[in-house]
Amino acid sequence: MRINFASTRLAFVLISTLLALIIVSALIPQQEIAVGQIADLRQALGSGYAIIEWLRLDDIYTAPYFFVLLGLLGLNLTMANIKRFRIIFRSGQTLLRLRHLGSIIFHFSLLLIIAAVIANYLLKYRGEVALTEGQTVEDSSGIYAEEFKGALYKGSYNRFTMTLDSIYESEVIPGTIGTAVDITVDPAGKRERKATIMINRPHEIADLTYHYALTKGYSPEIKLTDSAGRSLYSAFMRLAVTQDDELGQVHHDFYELEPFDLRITVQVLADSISIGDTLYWVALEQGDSSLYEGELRPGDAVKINQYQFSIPRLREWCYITIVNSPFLGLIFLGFWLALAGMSISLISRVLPKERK
Amino acid sequence: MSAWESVFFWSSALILASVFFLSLMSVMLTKAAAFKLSRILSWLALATLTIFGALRWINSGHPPFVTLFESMVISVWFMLLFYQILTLVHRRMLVLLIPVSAISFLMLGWASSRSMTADPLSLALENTWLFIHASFATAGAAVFLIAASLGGIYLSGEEKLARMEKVAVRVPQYDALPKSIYNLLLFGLVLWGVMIVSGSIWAQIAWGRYWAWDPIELWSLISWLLYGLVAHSRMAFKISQRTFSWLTIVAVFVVIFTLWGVNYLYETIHTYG
Repeated sequence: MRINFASTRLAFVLISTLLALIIVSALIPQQEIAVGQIADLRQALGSGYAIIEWLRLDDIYTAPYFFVLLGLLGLNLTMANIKRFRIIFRSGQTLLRLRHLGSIIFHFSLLLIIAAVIANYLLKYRGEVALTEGQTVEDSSGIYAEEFKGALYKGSYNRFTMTLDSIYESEVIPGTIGTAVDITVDPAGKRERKATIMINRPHEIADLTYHYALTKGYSPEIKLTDSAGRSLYSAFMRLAVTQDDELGQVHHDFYELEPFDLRITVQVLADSISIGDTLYWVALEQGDSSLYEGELRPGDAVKINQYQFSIPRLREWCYITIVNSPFLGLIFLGFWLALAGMSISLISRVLPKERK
Repeated sequence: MSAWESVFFWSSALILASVFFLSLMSVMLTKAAAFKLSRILSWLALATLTIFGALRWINSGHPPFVTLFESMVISVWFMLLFYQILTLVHRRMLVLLIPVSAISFLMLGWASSRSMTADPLSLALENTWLFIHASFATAGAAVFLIAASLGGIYLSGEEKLARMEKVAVRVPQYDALPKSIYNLLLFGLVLWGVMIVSGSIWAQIAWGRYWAWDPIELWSLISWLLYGLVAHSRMAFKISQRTFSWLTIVAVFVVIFTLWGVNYLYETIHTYG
């Protein structure tokens, strides 16, 4: 059976298959996108989830059959365009030529988008780092809360050193207050740059784009001193997020201070994480004994045996996303070409026909 | 919503209801004068809705595309606007008045069940691309709704269309309707495409990723591909005009779900305002 790769019927079948897969991905949670929902679905379906896993319906966009489908679509688009080129050259009618030209530009742009999206996916980098005011980090794997590296991404770490100078509220536009983040970035081999980033206002420094990632909160400084007032330990705690059945979303963290056999746990509820003057729940344990459990406000201190524990101040922290998308420009060029092609086709259809 | 906004919103809804019933009655009772009156009222509906939109813009400080309520109302405005432009260019399209007024009236009713408050815009939404994105989404939906209306007229049959000629003076050629539907689909695809592209650009600026697999993003893509399929089905399988018209009507429900139904079922970053 001979397959006509330029055929519109084949295009219909391929687009239908693509559409069906996208609909399935809208109904079944996908890996790396909705991990929490996958766990719920797995629990609900039990052993029945094995079929979904075997068919990779929970990971459609990285499944081999998806790339095969994109490859066939690409081939169909290419062959269809070649066929249209021949029609243009043979046709004497300007409007017909214009219509097919619009169609060629549109279908070529789809090829460009597919190729650029795949290339960008393979070569892009995205990392999310949480920083407290005044904190400096050096680019390394340990600083990122979340990271994505394309399979062919060649970059390594030590690309920059970054300091979060301050987080504050700024009236960007009259009447609209937003969070502004001042950062100092020292890219490797280039001069140091200062930048202010906000939502909708990222900043590019040496091939990396820095975005304010919308999430911020308060870090309590915890301070442990001895009975003579000498500082034994001091740090800003950035509280991790967990879900508690009774309390809902809770932000908490703990430090183990081995020299003193102490464990310090600090916790605050999610609805007060962005409020400066809030109550922190604090627990101090030494070995198996609980030394203290209670609430403290910033500025408060409590004496516990030979120690004094306090939360002297707060600093704000936020997430910053660092992105490198090398083929982004090509993807957007493809988008605009697609619109141009469709518009040319549409105009050629609505213009009055040429008189013979 | 301010008192004057309320006045103009409910006036528009009332006028559109009148337009629908008047135009329907004019066809059933063959009263050309009634149809002419309903056309005049449709211009009045467009005017009152325009004033509502302007008042909303002034009172909220931003273009009225942000909340679910605003999105629905502006879609109705675009539908009325495109209808008027279409009928100025092609007088034969006057017959669209019946389905367009019915859909507009129903949508305003649906919109009134949503929260009508206009909150100040958060900084996350202060971006020119957002307004391009939201306006083309509503405009695209309006065009798809008009295309579906034309599909409905085709499905009602040649006899009914001929009957409308007695009141509307001119009607489109029955056999030419599918071509008009196709051209409208293509126009809608361009508008919807601009919506997807501008949304991607805005997402890249705001969040550092042009595609976040958000449910509304996915369903927008599904809608766009579906209309692409409908357009290809004519060429690929030489389907009947009736089937093509039915497909146009079925596809518009996917658009309605994408813009105004997804939030009922999914958690999404498109939380409208």
